[in-house]
Amino acid sequence: MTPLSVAFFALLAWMGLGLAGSIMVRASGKPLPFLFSLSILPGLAVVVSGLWALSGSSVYSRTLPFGLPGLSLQLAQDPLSSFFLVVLGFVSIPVLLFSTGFFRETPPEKAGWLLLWIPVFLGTMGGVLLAADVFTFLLFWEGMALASFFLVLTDMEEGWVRNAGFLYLLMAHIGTGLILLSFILLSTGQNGPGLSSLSFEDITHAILPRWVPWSVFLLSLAGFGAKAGIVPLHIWLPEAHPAAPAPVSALMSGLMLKIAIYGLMRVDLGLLGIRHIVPGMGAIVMIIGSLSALFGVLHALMQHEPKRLLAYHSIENIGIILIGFGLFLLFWTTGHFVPATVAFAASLFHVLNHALFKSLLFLGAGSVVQKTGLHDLNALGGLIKNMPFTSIFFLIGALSISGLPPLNGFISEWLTFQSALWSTSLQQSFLQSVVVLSAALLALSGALTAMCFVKVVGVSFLGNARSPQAERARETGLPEKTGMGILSLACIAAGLLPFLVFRLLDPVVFSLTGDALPMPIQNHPWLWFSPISFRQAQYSPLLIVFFLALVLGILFLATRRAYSHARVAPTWNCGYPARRPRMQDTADAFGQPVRRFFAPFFRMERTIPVPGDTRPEYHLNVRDPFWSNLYGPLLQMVVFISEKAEKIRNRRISQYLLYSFVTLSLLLLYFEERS
Amino acid sequence: MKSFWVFLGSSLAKMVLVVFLAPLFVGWLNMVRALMANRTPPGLLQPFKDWGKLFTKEIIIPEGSSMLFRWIPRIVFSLLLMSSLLVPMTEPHDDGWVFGDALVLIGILSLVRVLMSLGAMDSGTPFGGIGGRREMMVGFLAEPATILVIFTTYLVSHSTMTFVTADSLQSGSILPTPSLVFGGLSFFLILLGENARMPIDNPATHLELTMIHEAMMLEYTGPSLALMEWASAIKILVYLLMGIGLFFPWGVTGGPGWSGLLPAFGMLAGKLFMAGAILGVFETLVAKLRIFRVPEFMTLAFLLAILGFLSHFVLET
Repeated sequence: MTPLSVAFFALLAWMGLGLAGSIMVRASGKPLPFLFSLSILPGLAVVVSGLWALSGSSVYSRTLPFGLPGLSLQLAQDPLSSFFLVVLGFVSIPVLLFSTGFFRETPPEKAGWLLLWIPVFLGTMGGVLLAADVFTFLLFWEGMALASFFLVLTDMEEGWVRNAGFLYLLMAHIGTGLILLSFILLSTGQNGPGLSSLSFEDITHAILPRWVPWSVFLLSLAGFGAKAGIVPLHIWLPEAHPAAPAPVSALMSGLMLKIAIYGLMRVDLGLLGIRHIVPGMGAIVMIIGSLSALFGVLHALMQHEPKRLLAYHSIENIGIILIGFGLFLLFWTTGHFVPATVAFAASLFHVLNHALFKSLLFLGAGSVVQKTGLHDLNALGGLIKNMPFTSIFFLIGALSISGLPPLNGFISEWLTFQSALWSTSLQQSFLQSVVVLSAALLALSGALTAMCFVKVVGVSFLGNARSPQAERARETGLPEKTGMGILSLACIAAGLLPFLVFRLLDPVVFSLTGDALPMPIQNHPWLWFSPISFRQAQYSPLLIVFFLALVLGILFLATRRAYSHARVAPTWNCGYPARRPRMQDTADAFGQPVRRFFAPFFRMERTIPVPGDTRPEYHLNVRDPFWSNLYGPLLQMVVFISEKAEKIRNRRISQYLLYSFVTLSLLLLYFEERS
Repeated sequence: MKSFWVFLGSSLAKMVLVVFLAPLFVGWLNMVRALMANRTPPGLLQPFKDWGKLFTKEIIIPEGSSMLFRWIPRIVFSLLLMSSLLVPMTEPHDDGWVFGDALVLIGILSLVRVLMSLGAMDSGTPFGGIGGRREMMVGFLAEPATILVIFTTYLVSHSTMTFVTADSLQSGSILPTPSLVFGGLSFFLILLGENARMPIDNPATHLELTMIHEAMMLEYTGPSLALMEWASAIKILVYLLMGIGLFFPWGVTGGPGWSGLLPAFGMLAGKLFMAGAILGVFETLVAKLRIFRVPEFMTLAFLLAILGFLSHFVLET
């Protein structure tokens, strides 16, 4: 019994439960959402397997007795995959718990569909993490893409959902194509004897031609980036996340994007090997990361559909993860090992954080949408009175994602800054300025995120209801509350006890770099958190909470009398006859200063009424500039080329034979030339 | 390392000191402003009188607001008071018990900003929303500059701990380096923006079109208003102490033991006296900026911080 076999059987169990669930729903004709709870057990097993493997540092591997002829499937579990397995298993549990309540009212055929594909989706994600050869990796990767595609299509009777699904499928396959190319290049290494070089083990030790590392790096960045949602390959995210049901969005945004990050780390650090990385690659990752972070948050501020807004925040957070990863590559290749390992830890820490708070936020947004039936923030308001639990959980998620102490989002951003401060010891001024500007952009996007979540929480949960539906909203059920509660507690725990997460990160960093994290030895690791040295920086979230509680307790006692006699009264409305909820600030108003300051990032269409207009109307439409500037022309080009190709297609058989003959001759000439 | 109880006792003493020093500073600042405007100044203790009176009044909660609105004044006050433990006041020695660096301090201040804006949104009034939105706007404009200022001070001490930076500056030459001059100027602009002072915000008016901070305060009454005002006073004091620690720490310690405490307090009082005078005079001399000119102001702070950072490499190495 090894951790790998536990994980492997858990994956098989997920697949089996998916099949069994859908069959049972079909047989009984009822939605049976409680069947989701069965899938929690494999989730627990995956967590156990990951923790077990991380307690040592060994690599477990296993060859399955089936696969292609002469190439059986190979699995392996090293600390990197174990860490991601822990994240996968841990987040799957509350999301599955949430699903048992959330899909209560779903029609049976849709429930059967979800019961089939959600466990299969989880299982294939785990398979990607365990794959140890190119074929297995791509098999599970494609399985994951297809399972998530089917999940996005749950509400396929709506036209826009189908469009979103196909856009996602297209981008996923462009990504897979690029990843395939990078694997092909990797297996052209010198001691790669044919097919067997598809195993990761052989690829790692191959000697690569000079031009291969850069090509592999760029192809894998673009390929995995298309899945992770880096700018400009992000366009599918804001379409697919609103289309999918909330738990599916939570899994896709919280976990699938992380699997793409895992793939990038695996190819760049595992297969390509850190010896092939040059500082320029780190700088490119950092630049793309910073742009994604800024672009994501700016567009999130423009949205008033909660799930679309969260989708743009996923782009931002992937950017933050990449800033950390880029810092690691940059520092490592320039020989600054201390900040490098800290940056890597920051990046992995943010992987965990984003998985926790983004799934929490998606579940919260899903509850709000389900209970009010509204998809527009501007129609909500005052939900904290009717949905107190959902509101508090969402608020915790919002404070986490905004990177505020003492919650978990702050720690990964803080670690990134602590590492970026070492930019002063870099020799090249170009790299130095990239690091410093990325840090400034990280600070800017952090503050913009805070603004965006003040908007979401303030407009939807606080103040007065703007519509009767929001007025009548009811709290979600117990399974939903428990699911969100677990994730909120995890956000708080990771923020207050960061050393627990560092215990998991240390073997990962050690196995990939051969260097341990530079944390100083100390007597009370649970109290003091200091990534590099006590002199550079230390942080104690528990003491912050202690002093906060102390002062707050004294204040509470001192003002208890005054607050218990507080009088509730309508606010003074400057003499206007009526104060209506519509007078409150809206989500669009919140974006107004940002639209103005960062105008080049948006494509805006506005109609502003002129004076004297008897029926004034105000319209505002903010869109992604990449649609009109990149994808629009690209689409036109594809259509143009296919129309031209159409002309030579519809011909007589003799012409077809001529095409074949010309092609064959050209190929023969080419190979004649080469030999 | 001191024992926990000594640490707890000194922290409590420091917090009590901050609670009483903050209104005194605001009183002094208002005196300077009044003198500059040729008015008879109110007494130094005027804030105590104002807020003491507010504490005797009743609390009125706006209809439709939630529990958050009741708790935010107390949470904001506690957070700001707690954050004063992270800045050097009279004891710059790194005694191992400082529970956060400058970045943590900035994080706590952002948390305060977020909570204040949420409280304003919770009142459900048009002004509350506008105030909250503008406060967050100033916040995101100031944040990149703040980070760069911290990068600049990191160059001096290779630490983001305010105490360590103060210590290593104090042991160096008293002549300011160009990077610290630019960094200090940038920090001054950030301080004005973050504390709703002129030219970003006018603390003395309640004009709908321009107010930021006051728009968020409109619905607080009685003790909750007093807490919010007091918290704002603590916030400006924390910013000033941070600025003193990072840029003018000379004399923060008089010497070892209790005998050193008295001269250190003298220096602190002198510095705060000067800071109040400079702030008051500056605020009276400038006119308030249009809200959409604020980005230019904050870009200036950002550029100054970049200049500070670069001049370290160009001029000082």
